[in-house]
This record gives sequence, structure tokens and C-alpha cells, in this order.
Amino acid sequence: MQDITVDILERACQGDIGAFEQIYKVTSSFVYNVAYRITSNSADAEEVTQDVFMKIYHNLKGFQFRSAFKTWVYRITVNTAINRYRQSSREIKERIDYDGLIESLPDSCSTAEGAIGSDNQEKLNLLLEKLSMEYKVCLILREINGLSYQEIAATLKIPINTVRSRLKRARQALLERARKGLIKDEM
Amino acid sequence: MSDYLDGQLSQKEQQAIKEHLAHCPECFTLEKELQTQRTLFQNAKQQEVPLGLWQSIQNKIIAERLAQESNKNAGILWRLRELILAPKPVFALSSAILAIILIATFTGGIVQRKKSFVKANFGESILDYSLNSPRDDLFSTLGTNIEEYFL
Repeated sequence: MQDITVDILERACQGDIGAFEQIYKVTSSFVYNVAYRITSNSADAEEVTQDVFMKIYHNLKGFQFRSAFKTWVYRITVNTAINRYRQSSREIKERIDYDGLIESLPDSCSTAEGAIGSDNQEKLNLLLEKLSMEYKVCLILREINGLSYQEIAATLKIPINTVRSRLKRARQALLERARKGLIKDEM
Repeated sequence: MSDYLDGQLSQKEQQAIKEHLAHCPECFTLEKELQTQRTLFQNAKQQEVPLGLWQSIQNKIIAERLAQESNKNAGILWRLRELILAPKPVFALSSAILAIILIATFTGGIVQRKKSFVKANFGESILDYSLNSPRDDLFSTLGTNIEEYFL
């Protein structure tokens, strides 16, 4: 994500819709993609993106420049997406039987390598779906959005060592899942 | 290994792991698996933001601003209405005083007129009585008795 100048932020604070559009242009891809990966659903991702920008619009005047604007946007995005995901899960508890879906995937998709070869969007979502939310969010921010450990720590308000251990456990969990798939294939 | 992949180790530690990987097939396999996993994420296509999204956000903002404006205007009108119609204590007191004064003025005038009318009538009636009374025993008796006493 590119940096946003203080001038643009100040103009947006004063209600300049053009400046706010510039903020949208710079941050919307990040917001939408994080929302999409967390909710695993494009309709929810769209709704989250709208909510995030409305929240930014409402709270921009109160933004104290104590933290980086980017970090602030990351935090709003992650929190809004998690809330939306939980809400959707409650609404449609048995929307998708993910276990059933993973088992019904073609053999080549049981491993990570298999998933790379074909269209891996859905498969990636399915793999992420198996992780707990805290691991999932860390992995998304690190691997898909390329945030540094410091940025993840600031976004989630957790110590860097927690980021480190969550990433390690998330990767381990995914590897175990892939290995289980391999064993199943061999059997 | 996770820190190694993320480049979170010092150069010295990084070098030590590289050397270890060259001699340990187990760790080499683990590193390969983790790299594959990473490629899976990196190859994940970035989703395109839907085209109409900004437009709907902009519409929401505009609608909100319009609603705020109309609320503000409605607020001004309401305050004006309250100022005019609401019974403020000062207004209520002053109108009550005014009402009392008016009532007092009117009723006072009427009472006074009535009093003077009664007085005038009484005087007239006495005069009338003294002049035209067929039996003037009041004056005649008094005068007569005293005069009679002294005489």
C-alpha cells in the first residue's frame, strides 16, 4: 500500500470528497482482499469494504496521527472483516460443509503443490478456513498482503513474538493438513 | 524455519540454517514444503475491487451529508418554533402580570363608578328624603326636643 500524504488526509478530514477518493484508490485493494480472504466470500468482502470506508469517513476527524494511517486502516479492516465473518457464520451456520468440500476436491488438490497448478482461489480459502481466526489473520496479512512482523503486531495490537509464534503454528497446521491429504491419497 | 523464510533472522543465523539444510534431508524437505506453501499464497490472485464500489460508497456519503443538512435546517426551524411557541417562564409571568393589571384596571373602574353611583344616589336620596319626606320628624323631633329642653 502506498503512503498517503498528510495533505490528502487533512483535505479528507475537511470533507473533500476528492481527497477521500484518493484514499480509497490507494487502500481499497488491500481492504477488499483482506476482507475477501477473511470472509471467503465476495459479497461479504464488498460489504466489509463499504463498511470500512464509511468508518474511515466517520472517524477521520478523530484520527490523531498517533499511529500510521495505514496501520489504522489495517486494523479497521481486520476487525470489520472478522465481525462480518462471525455474523455470517451465525446467520448461516451450515452454509458450507468445508470438511466435505475438502474431501471432495480432486486428488491433486489435497496437497499444496496440487493446489498451485489449478485455480487455487477457492482451495486457498478452504485451507485458510481450517485455521483458527487468529492464525488465519496473521497468515493473510503476512503471506498475501506482505505486511512486516511489526505492521502485523501494530495492526492486531499484539507483541511481535506472538506474531512470530502464530505464523509458525499456522504454517505448521497447514503442512499437517497437506500431509494428511497425502497419506489419504496413498491409502 | 518460519523466521528463516520470513527473513527475520540475523545474517549469521540465516547462514547457519543454510548450512544445516545442506546436510539434513529432513529439514531440507520441511523447507521445501514451506516454500511450496508460500508459493500457494503468493500465486493467489489479488482480487479486483468491484467497479461500482466507490460509486456506492460515494452515494452513501452524499446521502448522509444531505440527511445531516436537512436535520440541521429542521433543527433551526424547530428552535425558532420553540422560541415563539414554547411558554417561557418570563413570557408567562409577564403575560400573567399584564392580565392582572388589565383585570384590575377594568374591575377597579367599574367598582369606583359603582361606588360613586351609590354615593351620589345616597346623597340624592337623603336630600330627597329631607326635602320631600312627608314626615320630617327626624329634623323636627331633634330640633324640637333640644330647643324644647333649653327653652
